[in-house]
Amino acid sequence: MKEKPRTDANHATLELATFYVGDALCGMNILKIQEINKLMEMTKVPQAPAYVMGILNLRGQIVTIVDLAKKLGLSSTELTDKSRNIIVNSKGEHIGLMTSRISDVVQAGSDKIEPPPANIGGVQGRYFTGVYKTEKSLVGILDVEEVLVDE
Amino acid sequence: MTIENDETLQIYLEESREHLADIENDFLAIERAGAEIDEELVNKVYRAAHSIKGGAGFMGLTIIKDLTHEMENILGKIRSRELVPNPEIVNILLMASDALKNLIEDVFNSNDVDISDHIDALKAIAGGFGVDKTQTVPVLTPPREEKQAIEEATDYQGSEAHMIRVSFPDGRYVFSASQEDLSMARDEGKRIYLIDMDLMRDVQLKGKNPREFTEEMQACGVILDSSIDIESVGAINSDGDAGSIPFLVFYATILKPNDINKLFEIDEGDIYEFAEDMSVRPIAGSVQDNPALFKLKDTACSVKLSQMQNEAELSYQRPIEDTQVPQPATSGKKKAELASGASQQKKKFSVKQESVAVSDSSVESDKTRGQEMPPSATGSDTSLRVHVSLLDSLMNLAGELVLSRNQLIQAFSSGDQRASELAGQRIDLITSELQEAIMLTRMQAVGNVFNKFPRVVRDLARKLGKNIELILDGNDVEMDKTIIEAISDPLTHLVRNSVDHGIETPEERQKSGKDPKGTVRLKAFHEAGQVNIEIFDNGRGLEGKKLAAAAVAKGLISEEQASTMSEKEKVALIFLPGFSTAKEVTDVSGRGVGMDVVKTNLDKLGGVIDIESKLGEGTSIRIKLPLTLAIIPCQIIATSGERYAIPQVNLEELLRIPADQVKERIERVGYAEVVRLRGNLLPLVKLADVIGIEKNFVHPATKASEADRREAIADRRGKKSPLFRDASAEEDDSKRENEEKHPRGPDRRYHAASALNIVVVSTGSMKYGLVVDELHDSEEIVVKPLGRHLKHCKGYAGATIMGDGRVALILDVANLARMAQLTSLAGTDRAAEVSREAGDAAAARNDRQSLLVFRSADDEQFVVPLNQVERIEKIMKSQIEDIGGRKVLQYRGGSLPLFCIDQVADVKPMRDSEDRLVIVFSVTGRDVGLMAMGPVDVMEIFVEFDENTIKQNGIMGSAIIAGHTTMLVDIYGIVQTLNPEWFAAQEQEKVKTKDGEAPTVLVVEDSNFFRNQVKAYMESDGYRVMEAEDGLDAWNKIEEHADEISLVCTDIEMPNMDGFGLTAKIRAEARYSYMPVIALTTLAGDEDIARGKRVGIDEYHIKLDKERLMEAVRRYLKNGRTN
Repeated sequence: MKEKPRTDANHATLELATFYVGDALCGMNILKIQEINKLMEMTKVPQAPAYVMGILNLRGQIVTIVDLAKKLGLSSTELTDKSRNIIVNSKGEHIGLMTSRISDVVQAGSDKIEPPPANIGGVQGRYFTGVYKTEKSLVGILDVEEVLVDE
Repeated sequence: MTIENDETLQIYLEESREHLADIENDFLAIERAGAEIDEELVNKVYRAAHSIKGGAGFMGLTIIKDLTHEMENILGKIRSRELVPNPEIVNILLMASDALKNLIEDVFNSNDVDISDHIDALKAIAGGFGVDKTQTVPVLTPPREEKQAIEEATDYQGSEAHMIRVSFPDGRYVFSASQEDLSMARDEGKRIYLIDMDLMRDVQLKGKNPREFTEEMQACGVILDSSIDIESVGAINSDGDAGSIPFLVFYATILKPNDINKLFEIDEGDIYEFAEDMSVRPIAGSVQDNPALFKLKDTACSVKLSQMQNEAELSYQRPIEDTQVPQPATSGKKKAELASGASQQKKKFSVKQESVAVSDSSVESDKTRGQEMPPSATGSDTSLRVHVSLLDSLMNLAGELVLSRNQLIQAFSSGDQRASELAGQRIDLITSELQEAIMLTRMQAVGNVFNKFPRVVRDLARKLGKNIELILDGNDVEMDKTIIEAISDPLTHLVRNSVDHGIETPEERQKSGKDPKGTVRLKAFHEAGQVNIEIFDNGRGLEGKKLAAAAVAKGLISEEQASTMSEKEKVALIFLPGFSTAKEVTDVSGRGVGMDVVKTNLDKLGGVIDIESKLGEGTSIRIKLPLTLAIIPCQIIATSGERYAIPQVNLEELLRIPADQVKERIERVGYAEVVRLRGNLLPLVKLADVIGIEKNFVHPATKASEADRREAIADRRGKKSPLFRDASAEEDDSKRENEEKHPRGPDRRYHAASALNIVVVSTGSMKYGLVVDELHDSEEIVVKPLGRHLKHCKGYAGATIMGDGRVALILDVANLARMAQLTSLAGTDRAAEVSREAGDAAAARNDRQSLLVFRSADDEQFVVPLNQVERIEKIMKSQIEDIGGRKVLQYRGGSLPLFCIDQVADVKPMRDSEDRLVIVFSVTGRDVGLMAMGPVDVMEIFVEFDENTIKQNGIMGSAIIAGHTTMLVDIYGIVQTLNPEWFAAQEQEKVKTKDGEAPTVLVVEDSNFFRNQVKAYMESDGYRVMEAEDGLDAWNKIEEHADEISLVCTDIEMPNMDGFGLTAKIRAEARYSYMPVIALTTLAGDEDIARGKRVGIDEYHIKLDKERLMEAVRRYLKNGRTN
């Protein structure tokens, strides 16, 4: 599972930024990403849902940081030097997704994307729009809006 | 091009709104002035109506034009004193102006609105209704005026679209001329003037002939239009004094302003230039109030106009026959244009007609005004007028900011620390100035809202038949635009409430001795960086009792809650949802949804509402609002290492309780902690608890953060509350003793850093203390919203970014209170619960006392234990005999000695009255009577006596009973003081132990008071006393000093080990079998006695029944246990 996906030479139909959520390699459409940073100066928000790690100041904007692993039902992300914040824009609001490690950007040919199985690395299938198969590993393509649904 | 995008129309609408904004209050002022017409004011309104009319004609808004035209007519008559503005007339005018407002707001559909009601009403006035009181009715004007009006109306009908109409700055006569003519004249280098001359002064008196004069003018230029101001001529002529005949000329000439007045010998103040930018300015250069009275661009004009008639357009030319002004000519051409213009407009409007239904603008708008007016007053303002000077200063600041930025960049690149610091300072300064300036652009006077209230109050008062004066104060207090807009509705509601519910009818007022004229006062003022708005009425006020009863009846609160509420809290009930006090729901206010909506709306703004009311004197509602919403001053605090901001609006004060005072000032009432603050108990809420974070404290010595394990603030350092002498407290005590025996170095709890920081916050009528770890500075912060994932976190109002770039949460103190279940009502609820619990708890731990409550003087209350009392007799003063220096009473065939408490104790003397009570006691086998007064009451209560404060001879101690400090009477003490010889006999036969020493009695009693009492009894009889606080303590003492103790005298109800337990233990040991046990109790039930007998209690005695107790003690010490 640790191998990085090989860049596909096919005519790219989807450019995926890949990252690790726990042990699962996930990807998301790179166009959804506004930036990736390593700002970790979060302010905890007592009483917030468990998956909210805190809020931080992104150039004057308050950004909610969501612990992606926790949100997907895994144990919470431990902050290390490799942790990165993926800032996405969802419904007019900036939200940060905390990931344990950032991986490559891959060009996913549509022919290699398959519907998601029920479970990818312990994560429910409903959070994925599909699976991109490389020779050695699977990249779950995250459905960002589904992940960021506020219950 | 659609009409919506027409810039001209937008300008027109904006101007019209401005005119209309003031028109209402001006009408009201006109009404007040009555016959004493303030011409200035009438002119102002007239001009406003006129401008709107002119523009409407130009825009093809025929309905608006018709309406304003009729209004203008009336105003013209008021100005010329043909009509006296009485309330009826003003009413109709006001309604017309309302209709006008609606038309302007919905301008695209305005042409479809039926305003015939208004027109008819206005015409009726113009036609003579209401003119009966007019002083000067010019002979010929009314019919003519009407004729003129109609002519004017038809005249305006179509031609306006191509005509430019110009009026004098004072609103007099409007000239019309085609755009083309004017531009043609300008092309020829001509200037266009408006000349206001007087045919008498400027022509006749100078020996000129009007005909010659006009010819002279014609020679130098073109008279585009001219008119004689008939109205003023008529009025003056009726006096027979030919003072002036104003002759107004619209004139195009090449003459320069300097020359024109010289040539025609006209005062230069009377000449105005109609400039190319469509403004009318006096050539004298004197600044007029409203130089740009009429500014319109005829952009839509496309139809070519034929030659404009430059003759004067005089509708009629009486009475000056010699003016030589040509007759007006209504040419065929003009009519043709009229038709084409009209059809053109029709095309424009027909598109719109189908889209929107006609809005209802019927005459009766009273009911709906509340809902309809606010949007027009406060609604869709998308543009804002800013003073140019302010804009300039903003520009300057922006420039400076750029300069400073450059400096900063330069300083950074050159690495010059000092320069960068300087630049930083400059930027700091400029930013604050910039912030201030930008805020200023948003500031508007609260008068914008206030100004609509005279009308609201007037209409409402008329409708309700009340006489009400409205006083507005602080109109120029400025607030942020958004707040001004948002408070409009709540304020309207409050004012309506005051008028409807607050102020009584004149009859009612007179009956209660008030001025029949009620007053409603609206006052705005700055205080502590906030705007305060007060709505005060001197009406009937609110009755807390009634409100509470209504709330109970509606099931909003329970009766118990109501009974524990303060008057203020009761009054605040009107903010509860679903509460309406009006007996009948009127359409004016009070549909039962009012006040809570007001409150929620204000809460949203960060405002605080507070109500105070005195029955019969009036009600005062105070609203505190922040100046602005975007940037708010906040107090920064920290708890568990995170910073939080508390808006200054909610902040009352900061409290720091030094470590060594914590145990004295923090108390626990049930499970709630409270702090004593200037005599009041303030509920405390720990922030860490409410928002559920780990409590930490920083160890003062190691600086390390450790988890705080304390449950309660005052834990393990608190002095036990006398109310809560429970088992755990005792355990605690013993623990503490142990700890004290093994000190662990300096106690950190008394370190300065252990002081308690409390932020006292208030939300409306409720106040509480928020316990936080640290208090930081107060800062101005910018409110930023929280993301959608955090919308369920009610405790925060948003977030802000601190100086170091980190985010701090802004606390919503109202919601925090709710989260802590401390809402105002719930608070009292809880307080009641707490006190009830406290009572129960006390009951569990203290002995119940049956007490007889009585008085000796009026304001001093006494009690005696009921079980000491033999009887109570009611006697007359005359029955008392004063024999041998003593008062006695014949009683059951003997003499009953009578005493007063004041004979012994230092209390107020007995009140001298006919009826007396005698409480009969039995002391040393004799009956004695204590004189007392009613009311007598028997209470079975839990009470803790204080034996220090009021203790004296004859008084054992005191306690608070039913709200009074009550003294416990020591009847033995009194008798002994007065009759020591009665006790002498007993003292002789003192019991001694075998070895001749006084025997030792172990007194086991948890209450200090009773223990000391019993001890005193024992000692006075010569026994030695050993004390124990509870059964366990007693048992230890018995084990230690078994040989000394001759008798045990124990209470039954005690913590740790009760009297039964102790006795059972004693009886279990054979070696103590000799030891008599006497139980003391306050209430000896048969069951208890039986149980006591079973475990081996020898005898039961009642506390404070000294005589019997001592008798028993003596007996047991003498004889030992008999069985």
